[in-house]
Amino acid sequence: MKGLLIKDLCNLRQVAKQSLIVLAVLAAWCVFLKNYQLFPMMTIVYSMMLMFTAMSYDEMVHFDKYALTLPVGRRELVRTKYVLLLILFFSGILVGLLGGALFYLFFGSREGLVLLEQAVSLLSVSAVYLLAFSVLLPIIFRLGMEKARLFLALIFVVVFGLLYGAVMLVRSAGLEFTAGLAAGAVTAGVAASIISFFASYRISVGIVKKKEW
Amino acid sequence: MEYAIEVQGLTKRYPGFTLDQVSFSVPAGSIVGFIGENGAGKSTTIKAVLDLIRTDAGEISLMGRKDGAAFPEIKEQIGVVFDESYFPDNLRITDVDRIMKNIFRNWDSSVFFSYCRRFELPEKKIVKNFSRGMKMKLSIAAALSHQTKLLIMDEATSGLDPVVRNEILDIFQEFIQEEDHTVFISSHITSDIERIADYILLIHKGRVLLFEEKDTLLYEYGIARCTPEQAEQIDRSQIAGIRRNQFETEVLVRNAEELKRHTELVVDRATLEDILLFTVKNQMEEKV
Repeated sequence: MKGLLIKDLCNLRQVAKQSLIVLAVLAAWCVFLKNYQLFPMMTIVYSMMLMFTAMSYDEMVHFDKYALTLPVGRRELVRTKYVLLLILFFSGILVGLLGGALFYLFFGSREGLVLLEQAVSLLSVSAVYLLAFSVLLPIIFRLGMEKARLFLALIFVVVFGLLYGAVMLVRSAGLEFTAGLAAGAVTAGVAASIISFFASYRISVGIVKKKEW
Repeated sequence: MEYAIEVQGLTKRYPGFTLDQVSFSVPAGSIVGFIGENGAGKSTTIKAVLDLIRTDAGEISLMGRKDGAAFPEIKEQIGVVFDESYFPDNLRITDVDRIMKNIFRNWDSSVFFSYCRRFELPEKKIVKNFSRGMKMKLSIAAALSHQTKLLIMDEATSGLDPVVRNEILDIFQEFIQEEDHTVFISSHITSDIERIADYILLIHKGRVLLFEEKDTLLYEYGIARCTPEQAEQIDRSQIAGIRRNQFETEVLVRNAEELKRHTELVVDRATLEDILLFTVKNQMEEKV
C-alpha cells in the first residue's frame, strides 16, 4: 500500500504549486470578505477535490490494471484510495485550522464567533464532505472517474438537500434550533459520515473484486 | 518438464466472442510467442492468466501454483508489460524506483537504474515527455528489476520502430539466458516472434490452432507453388492452407521435406507470417 500511496502523492506533487496559489487566493478572498471562518471550510473542500485529481491521473493511464499485475491485491488497491482520502481530509482540516489560527493572530476574531462555534461549523462541513465522498467513491470504482463526474453534482445536491430538508423539518415542527440540538445534529452527522465511510469501503471492495480490466 | 504457465480449458464468453477451451503449457526456461490476428483472443487470454478478468471455465496455474496471479508471492516473480506504459504522466524514473521498491520485496534499484542508463532514459524528464519507445523501455526496465522469473508481454513491441524493437528483443534474449527464466510474448509482428521464440502458440477466433516448437514448425511447414491440378494431388491431411491467384496456387503443407523428396514441386520455406496467414485463411474458408 505504501508504494501506491507514494505514487498518488507523486501525482499530486504536480498540483502542489497550483494548490499554494489557490490557498493564497482563498486567503485573500476571506480577508476581503472579513469572513475568516470560510477559509478552513474551503481548504477541506479543496483538499477533498484533490482526490479526483489523483484518481483521474490513474484512470488516464489505466494504472489500476497495471497495479493488479504487481504484488497488489484488489482490496489493497481500494484501501489505498480510502487512506488517501483520509490523508487529504485531515490535511485539509489541518491547513484550514492553521490558516484560521493565523487569521485570528493577525486580525483577531472580528466576527465575534466563539471558537466552539467555529469548530462546530468546521466539523459539519467536514462530515458532509466525508459523507459525499463515501457515496461517490464506490461510484468512481464502478463507473470510472469520467462517468462518476456526472454524478458529482447530483450527489452534493442530494446530500445538501437532505441536510437542508432536515433543518426545515425541525423548523416546521416548531422546534427551536438550540445549541443542544445543533450539537446533537452535528454529532449524528459525524457518526453517519464515519459509518458511511466504512460501509463505502466495503462496497468499493465488493465492486473492485468483481471488476474486469 | 516444469511449466511457468499452464492453461487448461480456459473459456471466457463475451457477447459476440468466446475464448473457447484454450489450453497450452509454457515450459519454464523458454520463450513462447503468442500470435493471432486482432481480436483473436490474445489479450483476453493474457488478462485471464493475470487474473484481470473472471473466467467462465478452465484452470490456470502460474509458476506451478493454481490461480497463481491471485497470490502476491507469485506476482513477485512476474514482470508484465502491456502495449502501453501504465505509469502516470507526472512520474520521473526516480519516482518509479521509489514506488516499486515499496511494492516489490525483491526490487533491485541498481538493476533498474542500470536498465534506465542502458536505455538512455532521462532522469529529469517526467513520463509525459517520454517518447513511446522510452515509455515502453521504462515498462520493460520495471518488469525486469525485481528478480523476475516470468516475463509476460502483450503487444509490448507494437508501434515501436525496428531499432528499438531490436534492442528490446536483445534484452529478452539476455533475460532468457538464466535457465529458469521464461518469456510469454504476444505480438502482431511475427518477424520478432520468429527471431526469439522457442515455441509458437497460434490462436484464431478464440481457439488455439497450433502450439508447436518454432524450429519444428519452420522445418516441417513449407509453401508448395503449383498448378491447381498439382495442388489436388497433395495429401489433404498435410495441407494447412491454400492461396490461389491467377498465376499459381500456393499450398502451405505440413510435410515440406517429404514433398520435396517425393515430388518435383517447388517447395519454399514458410515464414511464421505465412503460417499465420494461410492457417487463419484456411479456418475462415472452412467455416464458409
